[in-house]
Amino acid sequence: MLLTKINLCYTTKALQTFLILFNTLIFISCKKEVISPDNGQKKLSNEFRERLYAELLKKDETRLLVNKLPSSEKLDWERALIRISSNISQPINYELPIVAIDGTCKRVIEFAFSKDKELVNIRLREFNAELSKRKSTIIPLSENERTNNILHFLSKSGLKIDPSITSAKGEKIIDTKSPSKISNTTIALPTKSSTTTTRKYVELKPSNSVQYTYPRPPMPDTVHCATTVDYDFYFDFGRLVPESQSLEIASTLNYFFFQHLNAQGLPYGDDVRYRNEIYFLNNYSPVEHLENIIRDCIYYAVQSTQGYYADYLWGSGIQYMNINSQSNCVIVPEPIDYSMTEAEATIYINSLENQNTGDGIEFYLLALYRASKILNLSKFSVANNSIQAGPYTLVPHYSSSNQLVFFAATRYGNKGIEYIIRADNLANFQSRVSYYTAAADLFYLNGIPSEGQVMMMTGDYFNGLLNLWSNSLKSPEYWLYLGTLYITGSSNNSVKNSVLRTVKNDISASEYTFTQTAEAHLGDIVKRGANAGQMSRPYMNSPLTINQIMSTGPGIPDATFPGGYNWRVPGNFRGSNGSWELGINPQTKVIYHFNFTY
Amino acid sequence: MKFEAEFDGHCVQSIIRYLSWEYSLDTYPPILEVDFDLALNMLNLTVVDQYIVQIWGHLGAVKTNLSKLGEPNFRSGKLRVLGEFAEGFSYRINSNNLPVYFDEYSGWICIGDQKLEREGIEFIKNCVAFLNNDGSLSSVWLKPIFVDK
Repeated sequence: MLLTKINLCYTTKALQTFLILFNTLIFISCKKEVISPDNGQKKLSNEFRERLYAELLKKDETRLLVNKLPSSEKLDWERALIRISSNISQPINYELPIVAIDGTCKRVIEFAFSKDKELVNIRLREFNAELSKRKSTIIPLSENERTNNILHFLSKSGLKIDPSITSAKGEKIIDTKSPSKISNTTIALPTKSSTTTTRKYVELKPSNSVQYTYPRPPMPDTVHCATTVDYDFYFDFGRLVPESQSLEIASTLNYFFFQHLNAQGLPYGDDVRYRNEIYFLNNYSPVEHLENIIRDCIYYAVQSTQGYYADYLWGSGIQYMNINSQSNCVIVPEPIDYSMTEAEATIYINSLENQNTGDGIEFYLLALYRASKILNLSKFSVANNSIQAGPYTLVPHYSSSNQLVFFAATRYGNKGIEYIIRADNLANFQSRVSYYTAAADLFYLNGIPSEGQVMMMTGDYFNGLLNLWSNSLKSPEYWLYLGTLYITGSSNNSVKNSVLRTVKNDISASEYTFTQTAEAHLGDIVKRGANAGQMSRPYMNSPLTINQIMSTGPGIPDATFPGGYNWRVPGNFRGSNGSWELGINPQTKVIYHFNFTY
Repeated sequence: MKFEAEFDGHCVQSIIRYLSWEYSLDTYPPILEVDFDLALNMLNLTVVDQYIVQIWGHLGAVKTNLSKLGEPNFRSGKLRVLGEFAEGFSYRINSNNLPVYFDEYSGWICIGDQKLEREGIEFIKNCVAFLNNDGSLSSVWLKPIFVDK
């Protein structure tokens, strides 16, 4: 009889493409029937073992090992090990465990074979490893069940899954919480006849009449991970099958590995390029759980393979196992409603105070930006009694208790709400609507400002910030907004002074330049009165105003200033009619005179 | 627009310069906090506490309108503008520009009527205003330091 012994070495690559190292030993079978030392009754299960036993009897003349083991120990022929030795003269060893009554194994009988496949030595030696005691009770999932569980997990990650898919009525229920601990929980499913399963948990569609009490697994929705687990291991055993069937063991091992893995109900994938890698989509950050799953899969595959070839394969033991994992996780915030409640929005609007003008009139976009939560104006009810102020339509907004909270100012175009006007500031807006119109024209000069521009604009309100920006902000929008600050008026001196310093320092950023004398007075501020603290001539930083003046006509050539042209056109500034006076060289864009006079 | 001369012997001790290359007049050191301005031609007269304390701005056609000007008679003091003016605005003294004369020998610049029939008030060093009987402004005489680039 041909006796073939196989050593399987699973190194770093692939359960599916196992590297199989095998050595073939050919022995002449002994036809003598040998009685097993186990109770002296059981027959050895194969000829190889019979051969070994015969050799053992030959060597063990005193029968110390074969017949005179103490009652607390016995030879375990089922879990005999085959080792590949580094000793060239005895490269292959077969180790027969001597197992104590408590299951421990401290010594083995070693059968050493030469490279010529001759048994050359039998000896007793110490054994420091641990024999596997695992027995799998895993019930594999069907592919359909696994698919359902994967969809369930994906649905937890925010994907929309058809409820009919995630409802697996009457199917096996998978314990995803602790796959290594099999629960025998009985669950009543919404059918007339209850179904008993050996596992628990699957996403079930709630019924109108039945409330399920089984717990959901602890899967925080705030963490989504992609975890890669890579593994390699080594074990060996002997078998009594034709050599041509060697690879069959590998594929069998592979089958049992994925059978166990599928039974976990976890969504996973494997990359064909790296067959010893499994990656999971897990909703929890600890990866030890996943490593344990892979470890269980390996044990399960080895033991199941041994069981599958029970009569032809013996010797087991995982000699080496290495499992590593790496997780890439993202934390997704809980879906919290960040919108202000009506009460919060009311408080916010009532406390609305333009830090520049000191009034309760603010650009809607700036109010939105400053709000700690989303300012949702739809919380308020709108009445039909809108008010017209200049080009603006002011729509009153009421709280649920019918209290007038604010007006939303809109006008032509698609800019939406431009201003939020606190209820008590209606008269202020109406009386100065021309100012606010001009300010909004500047604000929306290039369309609706981007978030970054809004951020920049709101930043103007904070003391000292402008100084930090004085050398960095060169965008036209910034200068335009400076104009809006002082067209609408300001009451915050510290802010204004900060702006003024910035204006003086950074006037070169403007499209236009001034004569030395004019530039020296760009930062003049009003000392007292209603406009105290404001720039005396804010329009000097407004290219829009300059362009508008120049667009009224060709201008009158100046008699002295080289290339200079003068304009004097009617206009409005700070609510009063007067004349814009501009002296400029249009070619060099040097302004030598700019004033608004009454 | 009416003015009142207060001859107290104390005018604003600033330096009036004429920057030839840009045809502008300024007062040094500059005063940057103002109540309101008065506009005379393309010049700005800064008003603080109702007194004119500064003059600056574009002043063209100086050296092209040469004239033999007399020596103004004046005393130092303060030039007060009468009436109520809202702060933060600029009010034109004359609706039309006043003529400008320059005496290159004396260095005086005259804006307005060059006749010297009354006593002027030097409200800023080397800057003299002449008022009419009704308190309106007749002329402003300046003797700046000419600065070339």
